[in-house]
Amino acid sequence: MRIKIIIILIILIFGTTNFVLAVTENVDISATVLGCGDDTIGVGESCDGADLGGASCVSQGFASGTLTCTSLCAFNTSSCIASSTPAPTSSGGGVILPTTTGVIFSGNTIPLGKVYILKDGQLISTIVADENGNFNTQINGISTGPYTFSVYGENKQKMRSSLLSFPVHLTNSSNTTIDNIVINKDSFILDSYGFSYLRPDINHDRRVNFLDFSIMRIWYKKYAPPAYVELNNDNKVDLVDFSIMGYYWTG
Amino acid sequence: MKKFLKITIFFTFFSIMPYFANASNLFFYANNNQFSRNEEFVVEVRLDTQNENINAIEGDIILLNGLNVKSINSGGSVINFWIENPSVTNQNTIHFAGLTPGGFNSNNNFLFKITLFSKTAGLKEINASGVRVLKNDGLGSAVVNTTIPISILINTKINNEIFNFFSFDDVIDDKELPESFNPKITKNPDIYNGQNVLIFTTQDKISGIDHYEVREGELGTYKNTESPYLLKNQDINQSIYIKAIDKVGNTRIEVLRPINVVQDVVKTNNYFFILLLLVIILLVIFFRKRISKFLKQ
Repeated sequence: MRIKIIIILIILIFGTTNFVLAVTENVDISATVLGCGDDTIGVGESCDGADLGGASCVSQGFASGTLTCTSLCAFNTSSCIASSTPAPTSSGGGVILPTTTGVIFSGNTIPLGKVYILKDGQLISTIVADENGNFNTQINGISTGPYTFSVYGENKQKMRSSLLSFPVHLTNSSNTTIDNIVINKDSFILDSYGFSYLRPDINHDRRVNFLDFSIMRIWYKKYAPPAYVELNNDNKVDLVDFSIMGYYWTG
Repeated sequence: MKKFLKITIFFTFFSIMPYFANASNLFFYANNNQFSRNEEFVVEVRLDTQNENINAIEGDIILLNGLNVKSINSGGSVINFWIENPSVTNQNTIHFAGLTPGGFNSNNNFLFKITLFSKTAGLKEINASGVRVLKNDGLGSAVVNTTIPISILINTKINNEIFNFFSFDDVIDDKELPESFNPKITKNPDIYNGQNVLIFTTQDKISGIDHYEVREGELGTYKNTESPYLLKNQDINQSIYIKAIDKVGNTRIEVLRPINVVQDVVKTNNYFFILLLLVIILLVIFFRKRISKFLKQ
């Protein structure tokens, strides 16, 4: 009888403990610690926690794989794959590997300002300017062809500049340099987290990117769209709404 | 004399006005303006923004007098995201709508190309209608667009022996995989009743994207689909494979690992504690006599 009571007590104790532990693991820690480990890319950091700044194995010169961030806020490429299955060729005369090249971005902005780099509208890198506002970075693993690279800056008050676009045709001969990019302090006029910004941010993730585009596209030319997907209050989603979204794009 | 002066000023004003107004030119490019019956030829659709920064465009390309579409290719386009992929909407119309965040500004922007042929001889025309070109100004302001049509002469002389064996689609020299991309999972109350959907896009700079395939789980099978894709496995506890395949068959595969890590951790801990509990119960049963003795003391 006593044994049974002991077993029941053990079950009750472990059951309760298990429940408490399981709940504890779901608690989100929202404390912010400045520097490496605060999940925000800072000066001298390539990444921070889950924030890879849009970088991927491919942008680091690998063919594929999963890029992660080390505890020292540097890229961990150990899960990146150096070579991929070669693309089939129609000539049938041997294997020709895909050609990739690199692009170097350099310029000046406000001291310690964040600089976001987009390739064809998709975020590929985030860097922080030095104390003099200078920034310089290289993106590798880009296939040859025509691209539109875009750059914008963000200050500590979360005000951002509009996109600066650089149409470039990449060849496999050498790295391409886009230099003398100037994001001056007067250009930080878009409110990153204010009302004007949030309207194109349809899914409220504080980014205006392909996710928002996809949601808006579902309502393109459809009858009676929800108010939050149409941006100019004309009760329809048409090209004008997409154009407004494109202006506020963050990648 | 005064009347003459007024007329001169009037006509001068209206003749130079287009140069000051917001304007763009949609035009077509072909490497020749004469082809034979059944011969395939390529016509490129291009835009001169006339010093305006443009971020959105839509319209219809009209094919007149018996031109047939073999294929449409948007590889290498200045358009980053197609709202509506260029596609044949009826026998002689190709509709398109696209967006380039941040905009573009030059006199020769490639939009897409059409491979055409005609079974009948005669003068054929390619024109456009309903073209809207919008500025990257945060308001979507329209610019006045002028379309410059192109005429193609199809000769009666047939050279089937040469041309029937030739196809532009077969000679695209594309050894590049589609661009690497980052598929995302999202949910929105107005898309599939708020269920988890997979969203993805990429580009292929040479031959263009042909289609996408998605596979859920290691044992699943690939299915042709497009973004957004409603996930069958709403728990998102299995890997998702997304294939982007270009027009010549080059394939890029991206893998989305399970995101419900917290759930997995909790489950693992549950299994651990259940196992520990069983071990303790077995120990209690095994040493019950000793425990009884200990308790009696």
